[in-house]
Amino acid sequence: MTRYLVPLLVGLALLTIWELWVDWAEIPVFILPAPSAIGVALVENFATLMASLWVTVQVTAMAFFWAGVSAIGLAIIFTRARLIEMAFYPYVITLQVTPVVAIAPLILIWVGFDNITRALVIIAWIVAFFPMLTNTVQGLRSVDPALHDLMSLSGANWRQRLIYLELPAALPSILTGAKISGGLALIGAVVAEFVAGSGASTGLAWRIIEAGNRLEIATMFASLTLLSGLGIVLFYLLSFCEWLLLHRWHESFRR
Amino acid sequence: MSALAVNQASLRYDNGFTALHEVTAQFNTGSFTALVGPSGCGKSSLLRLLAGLEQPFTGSVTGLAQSDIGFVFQEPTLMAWRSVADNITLPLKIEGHEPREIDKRLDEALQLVGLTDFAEALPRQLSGGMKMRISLARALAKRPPVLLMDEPFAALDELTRFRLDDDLRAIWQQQGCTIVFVTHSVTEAAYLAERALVMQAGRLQQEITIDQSARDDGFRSSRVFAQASAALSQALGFNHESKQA
Repeated sequence: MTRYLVPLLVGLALLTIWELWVDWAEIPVFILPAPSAIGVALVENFATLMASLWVTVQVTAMAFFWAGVSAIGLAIIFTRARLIEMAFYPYVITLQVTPVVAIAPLILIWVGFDNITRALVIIAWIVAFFPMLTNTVQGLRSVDPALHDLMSLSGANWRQRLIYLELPAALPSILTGAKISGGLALIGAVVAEFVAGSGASTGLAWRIIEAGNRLEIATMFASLTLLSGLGIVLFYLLSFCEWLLLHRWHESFRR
Repeated sequence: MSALAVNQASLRYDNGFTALHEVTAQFNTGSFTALVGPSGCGKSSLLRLLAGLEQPFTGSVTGLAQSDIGFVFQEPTLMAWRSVADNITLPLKIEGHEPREIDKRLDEALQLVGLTDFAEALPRQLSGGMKMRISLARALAKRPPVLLMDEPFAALDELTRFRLDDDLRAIWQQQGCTIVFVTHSVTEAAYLAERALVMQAGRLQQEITIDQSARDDGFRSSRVFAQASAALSQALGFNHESKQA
């Protein structure tokens, strides 16, 4: 109980100090709105903000899903065929180290503003993909060699080896990668919306740009609050999945 | 009749290290052989060669199909995410046995190692000795004509090791399988095996036969046991007097 109560009380105290300070120092609303003003903006623009939140959720979820599928698939291929890994790994790294903001306009042009969601998903996917790949490769490579010997002695084929041994053994690493990728998918989605930034996309990042242009700082904060909330929900959702899949057997959940 | 044999077999690893130099040995059906020697002498390499986990660089290995070999590793080597029962039955499942047959063999194997109440437990709920028993049960569930064991009890405390040594001998007598048991302990070799092959630097140095015919409960304090241990120690160069001479 204390685990939840203490941070909640700290949050409430900070919000109170913020509210009182803005009131006492008479800070204009277009510089820093009070929490109560942000609350009002959230209620007034509820329908619009929720629609935008839904757009961002969709882009994030799709990018995360495809990052997971492609990263695990590629990791399996990489750990099976050293030559393919040698051939493609430098290009995967290139994709990772090139700032996504720099290539996002290109992707938008290629995919087209008619397919804006697809473009946003591709950009967010680029950001989310790499940690999932490296973690999965590491997990698949770290399987106890004696267990591999055991599979050989049982005459296991590659599919049985993958399903019974490699994927379960790599699961902790895959889930660690997923937790990082989940957050990055959201960051990627926001970056993509900022770059698209013409109203073609109507996610939360667009609402932030729009509110900023109109100096509706309270609405800007309301959008920001929703984005942070989404990030937190995503993190705890993935942490819950991790707990669900690992708590019975993995050492990290041993008290 | 020999169940396994190696003939002039050498083993060289990818890094160029030669682990075995022209080793020749036979392992008769139903026999219990210990491979004894210091760390890095090639005992485990010879065992892996017999299991078909490594291929000889020169020479040959006459053995059985891998499905006829039970292998017990140095560590319990259990899958942490699978229950005891699922760990034991996985090799059988991969080999394509019928579910009813698998259940039968599971019960049988758990009975042999005395852990029938722990079928649904997870490996992390078991002690080191229990995990090793499960590892042994997994190998026995295959009903293998040959059981290869790579220092299986080395990491356990002495009392647990003595108990498992006794269990293993009982299982061997009951099942009649051929056992090749790697150990660095001369007393364990003298206690368990009918024959010990002493290895040094990748070569078979000496073969010592241990008379187990008049064995009883007091074997550990018997003259035969003391003599076999002394002979093994001497073969390994542990004998103080022989060093001085």
